[in-house]
Amino acid sequence: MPLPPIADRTDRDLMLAVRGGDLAALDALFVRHHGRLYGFLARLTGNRATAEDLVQEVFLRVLRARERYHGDGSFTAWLFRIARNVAAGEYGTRRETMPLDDMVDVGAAESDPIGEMETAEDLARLERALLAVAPQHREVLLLRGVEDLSHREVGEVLGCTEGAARVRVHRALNALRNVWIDQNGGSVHVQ
Amino acid sequence: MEDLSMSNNDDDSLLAALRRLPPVQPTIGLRAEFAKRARLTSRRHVARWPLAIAAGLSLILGAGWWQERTAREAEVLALRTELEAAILDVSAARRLVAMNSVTRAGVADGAMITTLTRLALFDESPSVRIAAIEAITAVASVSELATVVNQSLAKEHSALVQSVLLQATSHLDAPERTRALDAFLSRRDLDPIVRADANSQRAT
Repeated sequence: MPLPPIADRTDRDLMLAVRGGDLAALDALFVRHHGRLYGFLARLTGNRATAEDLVQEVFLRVLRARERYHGDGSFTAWLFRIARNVAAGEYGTRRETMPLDDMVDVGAAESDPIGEMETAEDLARLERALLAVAPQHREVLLLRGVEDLSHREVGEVLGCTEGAARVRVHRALNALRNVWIDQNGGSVHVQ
Repeated sequence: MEDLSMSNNDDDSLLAALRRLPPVQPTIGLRAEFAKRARLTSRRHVARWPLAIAAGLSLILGAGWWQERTAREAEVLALRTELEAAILDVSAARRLVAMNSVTRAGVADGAMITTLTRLALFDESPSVRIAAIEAITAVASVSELATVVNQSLAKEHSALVQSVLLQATSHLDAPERTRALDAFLSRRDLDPIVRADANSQRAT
C-alpha cells in the first residue's frame, strides 16, 4: 500500500520516517513547524537573528536524536523541549538581545493597522511586558499562552508533572501581571 | 475590555491576550539555509561562565556584609509597612504586589509572618493565597511553614493552591511531610491531577 503524500502524514509518521533516514520527511517537519518554533525562540531570546540560528540547530538535533524518538507523547512537546534546551545553551554563550522596541515593532507591524490602532498598541505593550519578565517565566508564557500548548504538553516540555506545570503557568502569569503593573500602572487594559 | 492587572482569579483572560499576539515570521531563506546546515556536522561549542567571576562576586558581597545588614533592617521595615497597607487594600493586585516584594526580598519579621499566614489561609483570592504561601516558603522557618501547610491543606479547595501547597511540602522534614501528605490524601474532594501528584510525592 503506497504511503500517503507527505503533507497528509502526521508528525509522528514523518518523524518515524526520519528515523529511517528519510530527509524529505525532516524537510516536511521543518516546513510544518519552523515558523511556530521561530516565533517561540525569537520571543524567548529577544533576538531574531539568534532565533533563526536556533531553529536550524533544533532541527539538526532532531536529526541527531532521531533514534531516541519513539512516537509516544506529543511530537510538538518533544520539539519544544529540544528548542528549550537549545535556547538554554544559547543563554550561556550569547546574551545580547535586540532592543525591545525593535522586537515589539516587528510584532505590531504585522497586525492589521486599519481600525485596530488601540489593539495594536495594547498588544505591543503586552509584547514589551513579555520581554521584560524573567526567561524562566517567559518560556512558560510562550508555551502555554502564545503557543497554546496544554498543561500536559507544557509539563512534557519542562520535564514536570501536569499539576506542577499548571502552577508554573500561574506563577509566570503573576510575574507578567507584575511587570505589566510596573510598566503601565494598575489599571491598564488590553482589548 | 479585560483588566489584566485585576484578573487575579482569571488567568485565562491573560492567556487569551497572549494568544492574540501577532506571529513573528522568519526570513524566507531559512529553509534553504537549514538544508545546507543539515549537511554539516559541526557542533556548537558551548562556553561556560568563568568560575572566577562567581568567586569575585562572593568576595565583594562578603566584604560589604555589615552595610548590608543595616540595609536589610531598613528593608524589612519598608516591607512590613507595605504589607500592612496592602492587607487593608480591596485590590487583590495590590496585595499580590506586596507579597511578591516580600518573596523577592527574602526577609520578614514575626509580624509579617503572622500577616502572611492569615492571607495564606483566609484571603478570598486564590492568587493571593498562592503568593502568601510562596512568601512564607521564602522567608519563614520550617515549623512556621509546616503550620501553614497543614492548616491550609485541610481546608483549601482550589486545585491550583493545593498544587502549590504540595510543592511547599518538599521544604518540610520527612516525618512532617509524610503526615501532611497522608492527611491531605484522606480528603475525598481532591482534584484527580492533584491527587496523582500527592501520591507521587508520597511514594518518594
